[in-house]
Amino acid sequence: MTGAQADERWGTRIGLILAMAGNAVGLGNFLRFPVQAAQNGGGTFMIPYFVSFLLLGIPLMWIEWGIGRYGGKYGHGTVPGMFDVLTDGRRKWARYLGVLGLFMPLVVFIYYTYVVSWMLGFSFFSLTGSYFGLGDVGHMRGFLTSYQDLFDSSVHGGWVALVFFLVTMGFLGWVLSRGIRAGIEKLALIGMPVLFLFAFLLAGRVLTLPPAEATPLAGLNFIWNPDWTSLAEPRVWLAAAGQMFFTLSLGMGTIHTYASYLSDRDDITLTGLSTGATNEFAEVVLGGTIAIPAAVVFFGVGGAREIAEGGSFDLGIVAMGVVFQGLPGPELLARLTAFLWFFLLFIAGITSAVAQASPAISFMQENFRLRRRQAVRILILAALSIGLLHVVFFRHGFLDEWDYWAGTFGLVVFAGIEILLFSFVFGIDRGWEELHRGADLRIPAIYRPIMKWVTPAFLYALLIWWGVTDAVPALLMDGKNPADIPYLWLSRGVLLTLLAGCLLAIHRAWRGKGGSAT
Amino acid sequence: MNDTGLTPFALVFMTASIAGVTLLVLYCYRRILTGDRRLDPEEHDRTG
Repeated sequence: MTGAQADERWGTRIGLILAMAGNAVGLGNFLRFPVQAAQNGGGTFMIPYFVSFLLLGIPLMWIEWGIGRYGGKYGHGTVPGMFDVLTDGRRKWARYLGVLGLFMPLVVFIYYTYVVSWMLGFSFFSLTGSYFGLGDVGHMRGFLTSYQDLFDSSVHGGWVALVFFLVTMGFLGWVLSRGIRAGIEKLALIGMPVLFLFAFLLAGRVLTLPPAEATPLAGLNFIWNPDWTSLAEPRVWLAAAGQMFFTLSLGMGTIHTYASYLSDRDDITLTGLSTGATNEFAEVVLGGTIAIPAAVVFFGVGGAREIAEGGSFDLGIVAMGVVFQGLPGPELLARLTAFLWFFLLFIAGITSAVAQASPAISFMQENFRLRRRQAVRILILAALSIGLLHVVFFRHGFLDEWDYWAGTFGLVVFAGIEILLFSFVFGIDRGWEELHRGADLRIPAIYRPIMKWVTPAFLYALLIWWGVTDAVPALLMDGKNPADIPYLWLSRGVLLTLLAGCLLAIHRAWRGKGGSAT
Repeated sequence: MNDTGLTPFALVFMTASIAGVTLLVLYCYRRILTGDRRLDPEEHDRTG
């Protein structure tokens, strides 16, 4: 093994767990989770949420770790090669189905990094106090919109968002080019403890806020008090199952790539469970204790509900921006508290973004004999160029289109494919044995039928329901502004071009290997 | 709702959920940090 390849492994077990947890803990834990809980019956949402964690999240997570480590044993760091070896190289179509595990993280990496760069921007604005003085939701929303929209210079010049996007991409490129151990693992070893420290400080601050429109505990009540009527609504179950994909970064291909750097003598059962548990702690304990309770204190239950209906950024940026301005005490302290919040989101996002970038880098190294630095350079330049489309066309819903097809619906499609390959083509008996190779934790036997029958049934019910109720109207662009439709078609066109490019890359890679699985 | 702002059910459910997740985290990290397992030191050949 050459020097560069020797570096392509994890240094420590705790580093691996934190990197995997960093992959999972993202903006969704602190922004999407509280909004989903608030929109779907509060405490009632938590019941399908925990059921989904047990029947969907944990089994799929173990399966993805298992597929990743198994593929890595045969020299594959990405899903096309992993699917190929799962079918013993006998089914050509498997490697082409695996394109989703290459295409989706690439697509998500491009737009997610742009969103993460907003958090860096708002960290900076918090320290400088740029938005302090805009004490209501309307003005704060104007501040955000002007930042997001290249052509709205009412507050910011169009270049401002671009600068933070460039800085974020540059930082990511630097981390990624340092490799697994010196780059990604070190980022996780520093970033994750800082993230948890900031989250604890913020949760403590929120819980000790003096009552205004309501008390902080009324905010917790808003999240945890059940609305029993919503438990019978399928949309609540769908929302909870969907959240499980986002929060654990399932169905994307990132867990596979990280796990491929392990030896088959390494444990994946306890290590995998640990990353899932760390993510749940960040989400349930910390994510549920910051944004919504703070919004309830400042806007009351009705106001917070209205804000939550507006989505994650209305809550996380607009409402929180107003909240920080209203904190008691000196303004400097309020600015620092705001910085903690936005920088926490930046860390959460950046540790996920490095994972999303990893499959494409690994694929280029593995199949086109590129050195890591070369692969990173190509990826960052491509992501910057394509990402500019998001900067320019953001106002037309360009990013939302990608987020829906690659970052939402696609996750469930990919998970639906991989679980069938693992449980039925590779076989649950071999799969079970593979998961327990080098294991520190014996998976409870009940999970064997769950992996074979319950999780696939749950997944396909979710996929069909979602497909009919959501994906078809989304495909037909129901309710879209007619002026945005040409841009949405452009957005889809770029997506399809990227998908075709990934398929072509797989085809060329296997042609170069003479069609062999290994 | 009582004077804390939380209904009794919300209080119990929140406490149980947070305790459950925290115990799971503590269980995992206790086993990992007190165990003697390390990552396999043998270099993992990813060259195929």
